[in-house]
Amino acid sequence: MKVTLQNIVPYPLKDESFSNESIWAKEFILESNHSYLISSDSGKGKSTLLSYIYGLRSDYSGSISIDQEKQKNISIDSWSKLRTHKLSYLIQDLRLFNHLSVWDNLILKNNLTNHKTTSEIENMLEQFGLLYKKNQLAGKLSLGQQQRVALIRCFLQPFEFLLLDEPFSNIDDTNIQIAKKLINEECKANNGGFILATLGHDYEFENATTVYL
Amino acid sequence: MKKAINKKQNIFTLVFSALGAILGFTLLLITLQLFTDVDAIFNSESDAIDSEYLVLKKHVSTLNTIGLSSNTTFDSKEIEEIKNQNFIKDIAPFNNATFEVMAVLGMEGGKFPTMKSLAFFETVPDQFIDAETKNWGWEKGNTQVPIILPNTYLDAYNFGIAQTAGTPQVSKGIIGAFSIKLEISGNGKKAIYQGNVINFSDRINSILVPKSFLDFANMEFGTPSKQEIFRVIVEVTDANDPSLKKYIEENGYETNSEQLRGGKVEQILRGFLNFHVLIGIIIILQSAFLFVLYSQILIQKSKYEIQLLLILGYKWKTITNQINKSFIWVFMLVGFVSFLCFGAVKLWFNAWLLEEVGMEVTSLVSASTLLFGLGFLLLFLLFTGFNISTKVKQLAKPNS
Repeated sequence: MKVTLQNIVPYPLKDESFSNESIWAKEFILESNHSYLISSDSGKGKSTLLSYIYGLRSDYSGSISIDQEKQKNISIDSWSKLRTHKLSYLIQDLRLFNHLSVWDNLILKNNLTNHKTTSEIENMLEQFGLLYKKNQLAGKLSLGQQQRVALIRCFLQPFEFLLLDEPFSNIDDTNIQIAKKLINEECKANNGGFILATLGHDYEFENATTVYL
Repeated sequence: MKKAINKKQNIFTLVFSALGAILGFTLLLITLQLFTDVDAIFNSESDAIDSEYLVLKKHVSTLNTIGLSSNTTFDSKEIEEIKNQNFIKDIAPFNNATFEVMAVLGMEGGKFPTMKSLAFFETVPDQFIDAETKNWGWEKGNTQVPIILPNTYLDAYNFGIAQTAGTPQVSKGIIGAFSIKLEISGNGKKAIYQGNVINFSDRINSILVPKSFLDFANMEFGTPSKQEIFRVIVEVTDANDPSLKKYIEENGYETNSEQLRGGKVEQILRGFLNFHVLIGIIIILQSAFLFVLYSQILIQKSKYEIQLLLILGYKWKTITNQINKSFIWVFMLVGFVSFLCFGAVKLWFNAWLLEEVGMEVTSLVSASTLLFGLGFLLLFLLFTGFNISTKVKQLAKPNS
């Protein structure tokens, strides 16, 4: 997958000036055979950029193309296809169904894609130490536990780009290492890359290009 | 997915919307069915009372009696004008006798009294007579004259004279056995004929004789130049036509107004039913709005869940179908309960009609009511479905 940014300026940032390093208001191409760390202070538009690529927002000037197709022209049905086959997204506020159990949350995604087997999903929960929480309501989990469940949900589909919005903000180092390992494994398995928004940490990812906003 | 969306149903709103819809739908079904029934009743009634024929006459006032006004006749110009009205199919004058007739009714050796009375003959063309006109004809030289009597005469005898005089009642069949002696006089001449009652008429309240006899007798015993037209009979396409009624009123005519009164009753009843339909539609529209409101509240309350499903990659159509499915069940329930309520009310109404009015309505529900009811339910469902899909689609679009 190729995401081409051409002179993008989000409407909320239109009165801001950008540094020379920033990819805002410039031409920049993100390719899924690479991985990227989007690094900036808060308020510079990291989440905004990811939501443009995922089709949740289109409040910008300039142009974004996803595989040659203008982002603003992509139909809502095509977005559904992209979100089940090519783009996977861990939103910053996690977006779990709090009234459903951990397992129901995961199955809801996997039923759509049939990407993983039950034992594969259980295995990932096991790695994160959450298998015993399988039947607990998602809303009753701690923020860190919710973040790990949401991350596992991202792996329950094929993707070319894995979009991760501050995925480790609430989890401890041990779990960060497990998460990194799973991210790398899934990217390799899907032959795709990730775009990870971070406040400045590089998390020692190998072969990830850092991009600034 | 069902579990993901359906957590926040507001049961009270749903129940009230459903009750409103049931009330409106039942009322609408009842009214539609009443329309069909009233139609059937009035159609069969109009056949029975021959509302296609009316007898027109002019008002006889006290002035006529004391001889100050005499305009109770129809001239040829007036008849032509009536004929030209588009609601009039045909018209014919009543030709009357200008000679004196004395009718003597009696039965040889029977226990019936002999009755003697002044009589009066009229004639109208055969096509206006609502009775079998077999043996209806007269040729010069015949001493027997066929007669058609009004049904009301027979009733007047059976329920009036027979009761007070203590004589037996007679049936239509036996009347032929009576001999009516007709003593005709005028122009200084006299003749006696034998009258034969061949039939009775509901429509024409006059003693009818064949035209050939009347023409002959007028020439022989009367003064043809004195012949005037006091009544006309008209054939109309619809006796309940408001423009006909208006025409009759405006021209100061009078008619056998029972039929027009029937028309008025029908008109009032239809007006009442129209009002009912209106109320039914208002209630059903209100409940439709309640359902729309309910679906919007449901979507608003489930906005987070719907958006999340869209983010996960669920198609807006799949989500819409899931929400609509729950509504289909509600609508099916509304339809089922409404038809049950309607059936109960209709059964009661049919029984009431039979008992109180003596009118038998056998049909429970007509095909048109059924089709219209189902159509309305489908429309209701499509309307709500469309509203839901629009809202979900809106949520699926990227924020710009």
